[in-house]
Amino acid sequence: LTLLAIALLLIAGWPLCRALDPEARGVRVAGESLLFGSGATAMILFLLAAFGVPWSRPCVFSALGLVVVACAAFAARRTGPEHGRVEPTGSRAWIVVDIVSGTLVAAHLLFASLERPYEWDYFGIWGFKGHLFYVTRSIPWPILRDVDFAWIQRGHPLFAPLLYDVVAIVSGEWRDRDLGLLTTAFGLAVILIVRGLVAEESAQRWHRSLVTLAVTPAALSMWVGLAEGFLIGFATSGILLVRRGLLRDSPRSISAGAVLLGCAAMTKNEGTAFIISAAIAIVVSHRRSPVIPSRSEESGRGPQAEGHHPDPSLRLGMTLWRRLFCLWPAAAVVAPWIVARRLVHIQTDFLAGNLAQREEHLRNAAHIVHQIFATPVDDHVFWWAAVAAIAFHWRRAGGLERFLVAVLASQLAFDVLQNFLVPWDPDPHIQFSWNRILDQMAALTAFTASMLIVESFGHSANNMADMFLPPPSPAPARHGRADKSGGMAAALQATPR
Amino acid sequence: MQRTPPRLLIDRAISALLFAIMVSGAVRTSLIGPLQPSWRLRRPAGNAAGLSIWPLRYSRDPFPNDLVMFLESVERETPRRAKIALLVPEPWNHPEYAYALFRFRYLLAGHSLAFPPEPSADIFSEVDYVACWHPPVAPPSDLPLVFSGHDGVLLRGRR
Repeated sequence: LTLLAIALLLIAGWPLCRALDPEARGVRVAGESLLFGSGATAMILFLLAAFGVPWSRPCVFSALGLVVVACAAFAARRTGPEHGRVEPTGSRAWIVVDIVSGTLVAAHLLFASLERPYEWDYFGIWGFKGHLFYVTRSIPWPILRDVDFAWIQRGHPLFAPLLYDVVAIVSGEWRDRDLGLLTTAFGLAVILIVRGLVAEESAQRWHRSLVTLAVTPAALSMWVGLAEGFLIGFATSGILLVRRGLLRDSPRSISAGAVLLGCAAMTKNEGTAFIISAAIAIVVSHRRSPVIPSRSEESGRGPQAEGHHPDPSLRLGMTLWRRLFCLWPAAAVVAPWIVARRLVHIQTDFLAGNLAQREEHLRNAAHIVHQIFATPVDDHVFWWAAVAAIAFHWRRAGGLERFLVAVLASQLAFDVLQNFLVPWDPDPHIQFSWNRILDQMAALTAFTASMLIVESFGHSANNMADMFLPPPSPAPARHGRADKSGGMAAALQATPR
Repeated sequence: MQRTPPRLLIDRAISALLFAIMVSGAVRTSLIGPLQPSWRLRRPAGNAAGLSIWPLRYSRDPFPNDLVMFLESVERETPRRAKIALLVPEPWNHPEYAYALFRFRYLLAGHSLAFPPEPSADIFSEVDYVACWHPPVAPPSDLPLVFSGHDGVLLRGRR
């Protein structure tokens, strides 16, 4: 029944995906549909509870049906540019890498469903709220402002428990043993979106397979039952869609990403930091974001045939203000929670306590930073290798992937900063959260590092042997176009700085 | 045939190495664990400070599955907002042990819970139900039985 609930979210999200991101194609549609469907259903539960309507299957399904029909009608009138199908090229042997990625997803599925979630954060915060909401068939707002329930982190956003409630409402019972499947589903959604986005940028099979493999373990959160899996799903996909919008000069893509970033902010407070990080990164990367022509533009189909010039150096991209304005859906999605928090007087941790505590933390800044570096991280090998890869390809990182690098740097700064803002002793806070908080950026970091690595091999490679052939001719770059095989480095070189 | 510059070859070799390290470092041993044969299940691996000990859910979580299933049955058998006294043995009557207090609150969300240190006549008259799981002392025999199972009994209180 949990799988049925996930299938329902996927189906319900399909019209939303068509309406919000009409440019989505291929496997990306499935990933985005699950995320949009989950976000919409959780928001419906939130709004029903806000207006005092008890949750029931007919009520929830009716509201969801209305949203789906409205989005389907809207999507019918809103069609994206016809990009044409990009036929993959290169050796089919790379499917072996895809099988490894698939095996990792299967392993996570087993891991997530072996046993019911056991972390304290599950039965103390996310699971408790979800179970309580399901038992009361609504959100008991008085409990969220009751100091006796301070341990449930009353100020945390509610999408994670609400997603558990969606599964419980569909299946008709609270079965925490199967809730881990949601974590796997969200990880899989990220993987599909990454696969689809890379397929747009490169026709090479090895390129798609390797980036997918790099992102797969990082997208599958090991914190089963916690909000991390949902946050990774919403935030990673949102940032990547914004990146696509910047590269393709597509306001729709940026706005679709912003909707997912809003869902991330409705999942955890770090999601709000992701929205701010995206805005900062748009500003930082504005002058250096090249407009990549779609593959159909390169091959003469689509917009080029309609008179658009494919040369990125001649195409005028969106202004900085327009790009920033495209993020407005993020604010719209998170607004109901901010209003509800005001009306119900729910206090967030970061606003609790007094200024003297923060001054004390600032005086101990060196100790706090030392604690952060001293805290053991599970996948420290991954982090060292990923950071080394980004540093090794610093030219490309500061150019084409400047947006992603700026997002990661900004988000890391926010994650460090939050240790100074907590009203309690930061030492245990760092000890119990730093390892987990880093995981929220792991998929984005893996994507950035792996894109830089595969780009360094050039796009002419069809197989492992071809990797060691000379780089593609710079001739196309002189004319400011991506190379015929979809290389972004050439486009970057041609972009006016 | 054009030769690849040695510098480029070295760059690509380093990139390939970093990619391999990155991917292998991201795959947690706990993820591989469920795919291992059963005779390897008790073997711990990885970073002891984090999640990578496998099987974490069995080796680290001392909360008995019978107790969980008993409390789930209690939740099904009792109405919402009922006041329930929990009689459990050492060390489960210490809220700090294995976060027992929070586990009870999670499993019986929506109910009001009481944790009497010892069974007494007073407590039985103040609650709607008494849930006993391996109780340290036998509860009064005059309380009506609601159900028994998973090594526990649910009795109706006198409130």
